[in-house]
Amino acid sequence: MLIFSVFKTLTDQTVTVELKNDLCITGVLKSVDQYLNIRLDAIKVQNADQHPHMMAVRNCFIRGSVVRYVQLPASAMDTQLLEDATRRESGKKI
Amino acid sequence: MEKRVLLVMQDGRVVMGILVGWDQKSNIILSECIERRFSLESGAVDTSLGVYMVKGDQICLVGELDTGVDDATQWSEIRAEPLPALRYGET
Repeated sequence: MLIFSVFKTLTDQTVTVELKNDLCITGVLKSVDQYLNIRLDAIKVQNADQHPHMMAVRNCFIRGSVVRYVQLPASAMDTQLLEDATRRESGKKI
Repeated sequence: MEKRVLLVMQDGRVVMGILVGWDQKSNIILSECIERRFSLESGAVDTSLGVYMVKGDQICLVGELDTGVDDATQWSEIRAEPLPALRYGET
């Protein structure tokens, strides 16, 4: 649930999502849900000349289960806060 | 709201169609479905498939198609490697 909240605070930021099929998609994060499914607007695929498959796609929905990494904008992250929150969260479960 | 969408499946297939139904598990029903096969030897080839029901767990990505761009593109001229299937674990 913590990571879900983190993503929610990142809406309207530009992020890059790396999928498990090695596709890297950059776009504006529009929404996330509990499965970490992601909606991106104004997308751009990295190495577009090698991956023309999505040329005609502007906005997309990515299934949370196929995401490998999400690259977040450093300016929008407070790592100290995140560190404390993850500690608190893991402390709760023990 | 019947929009043309593009689906990328977990095995790398690219399928387009009119979104006519979906549910919470992201199972999706497409009508007037077309599969677009990419290859390096020849341009992309479209195959008509009819109505398709895709199980949500097979779906990788759903994209809203810009029909203007799609229609204006000469897909038969575009050569590209097909998208790879999902790869888990070590890279």
